[in-house]
Amino acid sequence: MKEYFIETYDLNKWYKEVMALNKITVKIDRGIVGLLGPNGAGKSTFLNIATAQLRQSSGEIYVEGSEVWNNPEILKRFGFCPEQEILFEWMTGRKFVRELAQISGLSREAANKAAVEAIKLVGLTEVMDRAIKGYSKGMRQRIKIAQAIVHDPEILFLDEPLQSTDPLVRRELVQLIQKLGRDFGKNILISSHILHEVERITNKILLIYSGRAIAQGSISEIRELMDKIPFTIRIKTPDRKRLATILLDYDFVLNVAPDIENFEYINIRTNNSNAFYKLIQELAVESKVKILEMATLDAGLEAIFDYLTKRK
Amino acid sequence: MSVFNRSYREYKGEIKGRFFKIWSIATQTFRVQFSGKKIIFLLILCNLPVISFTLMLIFSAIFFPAFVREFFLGGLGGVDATMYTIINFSFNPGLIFLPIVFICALNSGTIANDKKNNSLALYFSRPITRIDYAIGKALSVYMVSSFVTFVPWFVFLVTFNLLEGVSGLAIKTVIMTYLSTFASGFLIVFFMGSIVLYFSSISKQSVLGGILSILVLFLPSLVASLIAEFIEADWIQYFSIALIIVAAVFLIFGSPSTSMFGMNFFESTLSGGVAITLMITIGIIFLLMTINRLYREEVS
Amino acid sequence: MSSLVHQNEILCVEGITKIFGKKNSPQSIIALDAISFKMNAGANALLGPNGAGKSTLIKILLSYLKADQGEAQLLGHDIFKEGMLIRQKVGYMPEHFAIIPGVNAVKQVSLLGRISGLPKEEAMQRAHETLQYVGLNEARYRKVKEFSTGMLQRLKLAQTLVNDPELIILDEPTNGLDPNGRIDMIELVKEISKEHGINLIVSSHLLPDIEATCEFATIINKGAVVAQGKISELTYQETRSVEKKNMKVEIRGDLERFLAALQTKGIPFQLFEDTILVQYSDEEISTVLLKLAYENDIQIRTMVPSEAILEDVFVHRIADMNNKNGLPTKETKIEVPK
Repeated sequence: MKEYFIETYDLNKWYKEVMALNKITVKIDRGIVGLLGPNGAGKSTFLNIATAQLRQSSGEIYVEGSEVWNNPEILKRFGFCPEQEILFEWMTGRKFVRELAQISGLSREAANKAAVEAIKLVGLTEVMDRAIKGYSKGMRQRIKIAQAIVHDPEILFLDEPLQSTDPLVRRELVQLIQKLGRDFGKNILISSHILHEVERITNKILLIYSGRAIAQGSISEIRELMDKIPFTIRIKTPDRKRLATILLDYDFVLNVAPDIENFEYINIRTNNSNAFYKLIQELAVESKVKILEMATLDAGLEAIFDYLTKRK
Repeated sequence: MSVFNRSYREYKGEIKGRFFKIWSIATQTFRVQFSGKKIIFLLILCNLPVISFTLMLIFSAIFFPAFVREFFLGGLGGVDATMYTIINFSFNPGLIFLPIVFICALNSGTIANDKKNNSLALYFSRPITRIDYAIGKALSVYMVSSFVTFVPWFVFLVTFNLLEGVSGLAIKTVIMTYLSTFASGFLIVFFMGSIVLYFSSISKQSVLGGILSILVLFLPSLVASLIAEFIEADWIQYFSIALIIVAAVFLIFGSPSTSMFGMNFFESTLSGGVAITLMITIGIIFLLMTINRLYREEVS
Repeated sequence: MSSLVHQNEILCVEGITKIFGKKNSPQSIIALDAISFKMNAGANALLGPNGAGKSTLIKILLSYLKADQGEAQLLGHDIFKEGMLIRQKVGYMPEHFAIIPGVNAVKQVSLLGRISGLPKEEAMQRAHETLQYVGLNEARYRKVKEFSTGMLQRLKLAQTLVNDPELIILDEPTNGLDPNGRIDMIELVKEISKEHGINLIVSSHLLPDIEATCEFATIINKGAVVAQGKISELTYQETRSVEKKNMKVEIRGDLERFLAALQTKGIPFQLFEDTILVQYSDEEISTVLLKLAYENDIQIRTMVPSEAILEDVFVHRIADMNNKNGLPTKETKIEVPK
């Protein structure tokens, strides 16, 4: 089995003169991957092409080694949770999920059973026989996820699955998605704007901006590659002056400054995180510098996103 | 205001009153409903009777020799009779669908579009009452609808007066004609407009509202003709919108004698008083129903 | 104007009850259950799960709905008697998109300004100003129906500000925005609150956004108040309420080896994806960990005590409330705090 479940080669999509996707060549690793990008960057286009709702203008895309366009066989193994609101207001939740399960090939009894289970997983058992018209936004979101997983697909495409959900429901959905990815071994591509949630679910991402794939891999790897942008590391220590003096001797330490908000902390900027962490450890153990806390302020997903989409 | 990017200024100025707010809603909605290229087409189409009369007038003034003109105009009677004839023509059972379609098509979205685009929440979060909103919208409906009633009619009257001149004796008649025209036009607009306004407020789909109002305006006469098969009675005629409009206008114009070339086409047999009362009452009822609907509106 | 109002108080709710459906029928829903609380001047958050009654409460405050029982004062004005005055002083940024069809941005904002009573020229001028303030300067002559999500959110904010309200109610202001859009909106809201002194009531499900913009929070559930207070205090209490202190540790290197080393040293820990939560009771743990890492050729990249965030407070308090009412709760696992 290959390491990646989606491969694209020079994938292009344009609408008249608007270039939605521009020569995207990526191999997406197995597991849970976050698909990120500003509005209008091409995320939804990418998802739509991957789930065979749109056809690419040129280039190739393979999911699990097969082409997707007009290929019902592979589509059976997909689950798709779209961003748009579903329109089947008059159906009950259970009927909706069951019908879609049947379209994916399950027999009526199997579909019914699977629907009930999927609905249980998303926590909507109490309202499954109520018409969707009466569902709140969070419930609609969950029923969409239920229909995406009801036929036990190997591959899940989730477009903004956590939108409009309250924090309680979101936690459960995050746990559910993690479970599906880790325990059930599904390959999941999640597109979301809520970066801190994506960070919770996975550390692998693909960032699309202006139709191009500009970053792919694990968050920490990507951050490492962005070596032109210095890291800011915050340290809590009682030996501030001493530490600062020592650090400034090293050429990879660009700046040391006390933290404005809390005098017990200092902020250090460095352009070589590896060397820095190694040094800190040495100082802590060998020179007995007391380091109480240590954190990198701009290594998270928000920082990466910010750098990559504003500077380009 | 500062030169650089952003600044926020406090507001300590005047606050306008209720009528200003209502008028703002009315004019804004009017401009929105009355925009687009289709309007010109609809305007011309639905005003064909008036336009043809006006053009005939202009043509005859320019091209025909005087005696033909006099014969023609003499046959029509004085300015009041002429105007009455035109109104009659525009609103007779055969042609009444033109103004009805105009009024319903252009106004069916008045409130419906606000519901669809969820802008009701914007209006109702402001310091206005729902009555204010209803009146503002109603005014815009009446203003739009006036373009198939007294607006083109005034155009005709002005053309008539310009071409024929106004003799001293006839001044009173002329002024009365203008007033009657306005009164008739407004009565019609109030009556039909309020109905359309109501149906515009019941659904998010303006098309639905439009269709319902057209139905409501046509159905009574259909029902009436059905009933007339079985029952002989005068009051059945009150079901026909065209007929009651004509009766009302007849009364407003002071029962002009309209013998066109000796033939009495346009006298009305129904009581104008009843017709006017009916129209005003129905208009008020629908207006109140609209206000009631708006008060029950639970904005999401 | 109520004379008993505390000068700092912007909202006072007393015993508001709202029931949907036929009274005393099993189908009826109690949206608000004699809810009572106060909010002070500043940036307040109104939080709660879906169906908690937040939107119902907001609608009642703005006179869209009438409460069945109870009283409330907004900015010192009774909501039942002084609705118009309240709507003069209070701005509302609704959750859903609200477009006046067929007009461009300046016209829409200026119309709403006029409806709030601003004279025509003032309304137009302020429309331009507020649109520039929210960053829609270039787009202000474009038709509103062409706006993207981010632009619509800013438009909503501009029209909320056009009549210079004393208080604005923001319903999901960052919904649907991409990360950059969210940052911009958060900055705007912060500026409005801190530099221009406009009071806020923000309702949102994105709790980090709330933490960035608001100082106080009121959490409601099933129509009643669950918790209230300064956000920093609520999170502090939540951190302290966990029995054992935890240190969040992230490393670069052989994870297995590090965990084995921890075990050998008898240090209790839990593993979540790539993050290790190490239990500790005194400061020495940091030195111990650094030494352990050093000896095993592992880099420690993060070492911070795990602190509760607003979301933890939210989940915990609501679970508590459900517990008290005998309702089934989902297991509150320890989530990796960020």
